[in-house]
Amino acid sequence: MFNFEQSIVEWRKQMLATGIKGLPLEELESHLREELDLQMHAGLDAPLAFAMAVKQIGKVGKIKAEFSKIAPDHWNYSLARMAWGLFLISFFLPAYAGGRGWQCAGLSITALSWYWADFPRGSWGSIFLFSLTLANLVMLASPFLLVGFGQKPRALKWPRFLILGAGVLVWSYVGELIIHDAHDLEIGCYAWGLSFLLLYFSTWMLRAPKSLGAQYV
Amino acid sequence: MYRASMIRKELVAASAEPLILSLLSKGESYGYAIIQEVKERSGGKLQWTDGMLYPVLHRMERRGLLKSRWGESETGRKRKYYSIKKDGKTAMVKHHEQWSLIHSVLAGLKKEQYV
Repeated sequence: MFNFEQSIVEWRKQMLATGIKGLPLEELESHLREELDLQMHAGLDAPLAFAMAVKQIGKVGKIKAEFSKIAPDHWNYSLARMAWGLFLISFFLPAYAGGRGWQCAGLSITALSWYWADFPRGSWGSIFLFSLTLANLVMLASPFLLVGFGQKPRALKWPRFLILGAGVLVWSYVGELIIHDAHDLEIGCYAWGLSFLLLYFSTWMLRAPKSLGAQYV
Repeated sequence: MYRASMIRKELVAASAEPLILSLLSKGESYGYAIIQEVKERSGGKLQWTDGMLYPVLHRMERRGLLKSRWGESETGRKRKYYSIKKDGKTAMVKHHEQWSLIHSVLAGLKKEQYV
């Protein structure tokens, strides 16, 4: 006698073998059972009803191929990777007056203490320099931000806004150095600034999601 | 996704999203019911290969057009229900505008042929 449950188990195994699992598989199984009910109600005998239902669901390989197209990122992963790479490299390159990038970053971290040292006279310059630390932190956090928010275009505006802010800070600093101390600037500083530009562009240069209809062609 | 007996597959493909959005704008539904309704409304000329609907639904959900919840049918069977979100309604309006435009252009051209 035809065993529906055993047949469904076998069908699930086929699905699992191609990588369709979890909730999508549960949903497909639910669909299969609905279709089975319909076929049986139409008067087909059990084995034929099952065969028809499976056929109606479609070829496993094609379904898997379509599921694999899901999860489009709305940011450019390659460009972001280049930005992160450049950011890291910039820390080991000569950046300013012979100092390495990491030394400059160290200066920006300690800059706030200069403010307090000069208090109450204060020094907005030290606050500005310290803000570069925040910009670096945004860069370090950006992989998590982009992965977390990057799949929904509307949500992406928050990391994009943060990265833009960080980029503006960084380039206002680099710009000022170019104007006043251009001879002391070295490649690491440009690489550092460029990494923020690339990261910002990565949030705009979207990897276009494949057309919803691509699977039909 | 579809086996369209009369309608070209490219056209069927292009109409998938507006059809799903329009169906769900009437209220939440689930994959099997969506397929059946499309089949019924098209007089059987628009037949989808059922399994291929789900990647489309999941993608639309990922894009923020739809939301889903697991529920139970009257018989206690698990079902995933989809409903349209605000962005989905906006997308549907745009689809309707575009399809209406294409329809009116075609209708106008057809009319001229018979004048």
